[in-house]
Amino acid sequence: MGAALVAVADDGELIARYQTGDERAAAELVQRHTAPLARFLAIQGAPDEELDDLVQDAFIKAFRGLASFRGGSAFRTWLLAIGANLLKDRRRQWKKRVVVELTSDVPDRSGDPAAEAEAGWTAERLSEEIGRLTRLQREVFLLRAQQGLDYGEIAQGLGVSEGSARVHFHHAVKRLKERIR
Amino acid sequence: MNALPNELPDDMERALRALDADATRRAGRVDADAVASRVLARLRQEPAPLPRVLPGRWALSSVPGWMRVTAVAAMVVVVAGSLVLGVFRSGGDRAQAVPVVAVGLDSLNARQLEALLRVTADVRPVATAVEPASGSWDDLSEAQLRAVLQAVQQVQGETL
Repeated sequence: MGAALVAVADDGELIARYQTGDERAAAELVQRHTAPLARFLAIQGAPDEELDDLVQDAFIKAFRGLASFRGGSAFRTWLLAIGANLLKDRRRQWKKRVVVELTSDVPDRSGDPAAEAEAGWTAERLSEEIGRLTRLQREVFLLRAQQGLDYGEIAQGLGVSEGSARVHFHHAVKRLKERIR
Repeated sequence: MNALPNELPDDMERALRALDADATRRAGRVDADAVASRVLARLRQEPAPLPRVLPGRWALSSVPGWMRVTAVAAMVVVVAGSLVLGVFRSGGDRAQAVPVVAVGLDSLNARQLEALLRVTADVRPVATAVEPASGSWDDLSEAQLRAVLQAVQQVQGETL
């Protein structure tokens, strides 16, 4: 008894408040969505040292682009799509900077079929193969399998039809199975 | 990670859980409060970029309508002139080419004629290739065309 009822504003309310100049609303949005965004970028292989900047930049882009956010998708889905775009752009820059980047966490098994067969379904193999999916397949797969979004949300966030989102997920799973078996 | 029963094979699901555990651990190092402070600071410091407008669209929308019409008319004349020149060079029948130009010229007003004069200065070789004979606009020399223009302007000045 006596516990105060704290009304939790939904994302739409926070966005509206931020647009009228309430910075606390923006801070609340950042605090609410930083972890899922960072997790989404990390599973796609964003380097640790870049993760913080990527998250920040994704939020800046999102706040700057709020005028184009129509509210059809959840703010989080929209933010994750922005993050994925940003990661794609940064990868191009990193490719120019670093020719080969292999960490001890992800052993290079290319050219060794025996090792590949033996490796089976490991997190490392899965990470590699997720990275080889097409962009849409990868994003749909992770939004569905990692973030647990339904196809409607995924479709709205990525600007594709729900049927197309389902097909991309199906193809992603099929391709991963083919490559890792 | 959110469980999605029956959508992933067990072995893939297990590997994905392991991968997500690693991603969650790495994501945990990102300090949400610090990110919020830095994002707010940047939003205050960095002015929002102006809406992007394509230079071509800006240029076209800022050009008065009459200038656009003039430019199109001038292009018609130049293209038609080039065709005439091509016909003459290839020994074709002159009568086939002249009407194409005449149609363009007859519809021009004083300002458009003015623009045409500027164009004819650039395509003089075309004008000299056409021999005066038929009495159409095309047969006028630059000086004659200028005289016509002055007359038209004079008439317009008197009527205003």
